[in-house]
Amino acid sequence: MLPSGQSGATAEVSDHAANRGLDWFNLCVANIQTGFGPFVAVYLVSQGWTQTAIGIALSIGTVTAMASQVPAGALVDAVRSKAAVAAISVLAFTASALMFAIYPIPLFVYLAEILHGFSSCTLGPAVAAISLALVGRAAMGTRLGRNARYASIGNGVGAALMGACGSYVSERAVFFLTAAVTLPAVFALLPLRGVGAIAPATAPPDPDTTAVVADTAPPGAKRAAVMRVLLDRRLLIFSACAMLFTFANAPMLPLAASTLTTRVGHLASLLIGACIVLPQLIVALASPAVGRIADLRGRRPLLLLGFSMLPLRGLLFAMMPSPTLVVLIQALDGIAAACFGIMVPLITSDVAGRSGHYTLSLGVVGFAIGIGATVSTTAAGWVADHFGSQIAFLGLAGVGLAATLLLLTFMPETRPPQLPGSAATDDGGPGVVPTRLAHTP
Amino acid sequence: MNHRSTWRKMASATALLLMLTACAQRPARDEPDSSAQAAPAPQVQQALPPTAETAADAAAEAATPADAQPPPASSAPPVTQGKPYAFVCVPYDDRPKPPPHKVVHKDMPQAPPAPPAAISNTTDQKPPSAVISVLGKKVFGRDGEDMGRVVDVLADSDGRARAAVIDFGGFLGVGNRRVAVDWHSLQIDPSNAEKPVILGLSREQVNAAPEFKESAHPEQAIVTDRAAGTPAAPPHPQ
Repeated sequence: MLPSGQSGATAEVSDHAANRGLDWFNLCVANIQTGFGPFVAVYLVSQGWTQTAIGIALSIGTVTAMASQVPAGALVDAVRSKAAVAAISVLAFTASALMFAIYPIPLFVYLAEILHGFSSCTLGPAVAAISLALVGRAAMGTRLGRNARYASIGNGVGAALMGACGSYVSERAVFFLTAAVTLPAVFALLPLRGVGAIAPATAPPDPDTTAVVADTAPPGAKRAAVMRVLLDRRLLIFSACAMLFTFANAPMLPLAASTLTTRVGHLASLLIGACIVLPQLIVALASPAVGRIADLRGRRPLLLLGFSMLPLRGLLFAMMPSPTLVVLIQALDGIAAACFGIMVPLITSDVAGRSGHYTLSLGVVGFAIGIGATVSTTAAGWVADHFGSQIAFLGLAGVGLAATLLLLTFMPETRPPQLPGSAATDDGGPGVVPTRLAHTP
Repeated sequence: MNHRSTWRKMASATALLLMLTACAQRPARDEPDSSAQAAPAPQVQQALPPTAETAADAAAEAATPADAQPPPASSAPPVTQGKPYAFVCVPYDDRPKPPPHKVVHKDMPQAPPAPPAAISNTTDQKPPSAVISVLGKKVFGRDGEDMGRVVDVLADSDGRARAAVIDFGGFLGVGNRRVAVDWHSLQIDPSNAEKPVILGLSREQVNAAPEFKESAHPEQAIVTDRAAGTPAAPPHPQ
C-alpha cells in the first residue's frame, strides 16, 4: 500500500505512474489472453488429445466463465483493493498457463480451464474498477479509450508473437511464453496498489465509498439497492443490445476465416493472421478518440456507429469478396470493437458507477455477452452447415441490424448530464491531448 | 544467396552434430544394445559386397540436410525392427532356430511356452512392424508442406481404419478446417522421427474436399486418391 497522505506534486506523479501502470497492465493481460481461447484446442490436439476430451475441456472453460460472471462481479465489488484482485487473477493465469504447458493431462487441463475461466471474470471488472477509481466518472471514457488502445496493442502483439511461437518453436512454448508475460503484468500493477485505498479519502463520490456505505446498510436495504441497479432499464436494454451484438459479431471472424482456408490454401494462415491483427490496429488507433468523443459528445452516436458496422460487415462478407477484401472488411470490425469495447464498461459505469455495485453490473452485462457468444457460434455453425456460409453471414447481418434498431429505438443517452463537455479534458490524465476535439465528428 | 547457403551449411552442420551426439549417447545409455547395434551394420555391407563403396556414398548423401532422417533410422531398426534389416535379420535368425524348436515341440510339448510366438513372427516373413501413435501427429505433403494434424481416425464395422481426419489451416485456432482423407492416402513411417505421416493428396484436393462433420455420414466425405479428378465427390460406396 502506498502512503495515503500523498498530495500535490507527488500525487500527480503517482497518478502519472498509475496511468502508465494501467496501460502496461492492459497490454500484458491482452497478450496473455491470446494464448488461451481457440488456441487451447490446437495445443491439445498436438498433445494427442481426442476431440471428445478437448470438447469437454473447452466446455468446462465456457461453463465456468458463464457461471462466474455475476459472482465474480460481486466479489470484486466486495474486495477493497481492486489491484490485489487483478494481481491474483493474473497469477491464476500464470498457474493455468503452466499447468497447460507442463501437465497436459485431463485433471490439470480441466483445473486450468476452471482457474482461467473464473479469473477472467474477476480481471475485467477489476480493471474497470481501477480505471474508475483512478480517473473518476468525468474522464472514464478517455481512460477506457486508453485501456482499449493498449489492450488491442497487446492483442495484436500477442497474436503475432504467439502465432510465430506456435509455428516455429512449438505449441507448448506458447504457454510458457504466456506464463512469462504474466510477470511484467504483475509488475505493472505496482503503481496501482494504492488506487482503491486513496480514492475514498480524496474523492467522496467514488464507488468505493458508496460500496462501504452499502456494506454497512441493513441487509434488506442492501438487497433492494442491488436490485435497483440490476433492474435499471438502461442496463437491461444495453445488456440485450450487447447480447445481440455479440451474437452477430462472434461467429463472423471464424466463419470468414474458414472460407479463407477453403479458398486460399497455404496462404490462409497469413491472411487469417491479418484478419485478426488489422482490427486490433484500428482499435489501437481509434479508441483514444472514441473515448474522448464519448466523454464530450455522449455515448449514443458511438454505440450506433459501432453497432451499424455489423450489418454492413455481414452483407459484405455475404457477397463472397476476394481474400484481400476479406482482410479489408475486417477493418470495420476494428471500428465496431473500439466502440463496443469502450462502451460496455463506460455505460455500465454511467448506470452503476456510483452505486457500489459497478462490477456486479459489469458481470451482468458480461453474462449477457457470454450467452450471445456461446449460442451464436453453435447457431452460425449450424446455419453455415445446412445453408452455406452466405446465408449464415446474411443471418448475422440481420441480427446485427436488429441490435442496431433496438439500440436506436430504446437505448437512451447515459452520459452524466451534469458534466459539461470540457470537464472531461481537465481530468484527462497524462498523455491525453485535448486539442482539436471540437473538430472531430 | 550467400546468407542462405551459409544458413544451410550451418543447419546441416548442426543436424550432423545432433546426429553424432545422438549416436554417441545411445550406446552410453544402454551398453548391451551397442553390440546388437554394431552387429547389423556390417551385415548390410556383407550382404551387399560389391556396393560397399556405394553404401558409403549413400551415407555421405544421408548427411546432407535434405533428408536428415537416415541416420536416426539406422539407429532405430535394432530397436524397432525396421524394413532395411528385415532381409538380413530374418533369414539369419530363422535358419538355426526353427529346427531345434520343431524338435523340442515334438519331444517335450510343455517346455516352450514362449518360443511359438517367436516362430509365428518369423515364419510368415512379416516381423511385427513398428507402430506409432498418429493422433495429434503433424501431416506433411509429399513436398514437405505442412498439411495439418491428425485429430481423429474413422473406422468401419470390421474395425479397420478407413480414414484419418486432419485439421489444417487457420491461425491460433481460428479458421481451421477438417477433412477426412482415405486411410490409404497416408504413408506412415514410424522410423521417420520428424515426418512420420505423409499425405499422398495434393493441397488442392484437400482444399476442395467437403468439411468433415461429426453428425453427417462421415464416409461420404472421405477424400481418396482415386477421386483425384473430382475430389469434392469421392465415389465411395456406402
